[in-house]
Amino acid sequence: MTRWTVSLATVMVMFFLGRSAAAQRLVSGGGIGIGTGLQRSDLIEEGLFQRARTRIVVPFDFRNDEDMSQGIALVGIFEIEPKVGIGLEARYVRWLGKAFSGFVGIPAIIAPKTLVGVDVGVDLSIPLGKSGVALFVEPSLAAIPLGTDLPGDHVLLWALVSVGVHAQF
Amino acid sequence: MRNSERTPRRVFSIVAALTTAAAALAGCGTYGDPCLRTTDCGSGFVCVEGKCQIDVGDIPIDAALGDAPGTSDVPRVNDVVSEGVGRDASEEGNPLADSAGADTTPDSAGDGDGAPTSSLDAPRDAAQADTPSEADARAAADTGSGNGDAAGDDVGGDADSASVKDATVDALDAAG
Repeated sequence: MTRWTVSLATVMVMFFLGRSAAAQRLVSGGGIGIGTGLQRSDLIEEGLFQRARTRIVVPFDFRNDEDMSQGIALVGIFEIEPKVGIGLEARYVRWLGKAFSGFVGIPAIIAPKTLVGVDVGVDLSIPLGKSGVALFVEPSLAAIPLGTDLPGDHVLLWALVSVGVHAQF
Repeated sequence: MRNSERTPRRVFSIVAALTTAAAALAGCGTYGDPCLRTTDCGSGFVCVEGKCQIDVGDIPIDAALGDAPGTSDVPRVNDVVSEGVGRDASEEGNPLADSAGADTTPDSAGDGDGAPTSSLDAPRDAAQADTPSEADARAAADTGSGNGDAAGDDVGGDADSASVKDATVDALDAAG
């Protein structure tokens, strides 16, 4: 009993007094951009594609400085034209160098009606000086098979391109 | 200080302008417009097979049909009146009822058609006069069972006691 008590007290002291390792630091970044593209569904009777909604994207990415080659990102999606909508996307991002990354994600429109799907894309960053600010160009493909915004059992396909600015915090 | 006060106002103005622009740019999504998402269509429309269609769920079609008063009530009124008045006029042996109801006196019910009023004419007239109210028709039928006077009054709609008396006198004159 005494041994367990001492062990527990030691662990608690170490836990509360110990500092986090300086090597492990959260590296985060964020930005804002605008995007649009093409969309397709088997509902289209004329032509192959329609223009997708214009959207403002607000990405935030997070990664550990011990492993800068991968991280997660959350992207706010604000559809603004021709109809409005709000959504969110969670991504797993893999960096292939400083200027190039690829991602897979789960985009979801949550209002006024819902859409849920998967997407894949790449992100090209063009640094603007040494401040950590960069322009990004981000083509992506998405398949949206779920949600109340879909009229029946149809899959919506998006081919989008977003451009904007990104900065490291 | 003034700049810090102006900044929220500017932000608000920019947001308002952007919102207005977005609303102005938003398509209407009216009937027949192509759509891939339900929200591509405007209010009152739904996306069906790639085109905006009228949302029939919002239109009270059933209520309109159910509220039509004449279609379901008129046949019942006719039936009630024909059965009640026809039986009263023909089955009761009241001579006054006969003269008013029309078996012996041509057009004594005063329905204006110039033809001899039969027991079948009276309910037809009653139906035309009292179709809007089933209660009236029933009252007419009930009252008519009492005597021919009241029956002529309600069923014919224009045969009062004076006309019944005149009809009786005319009948007696014709007979005499």
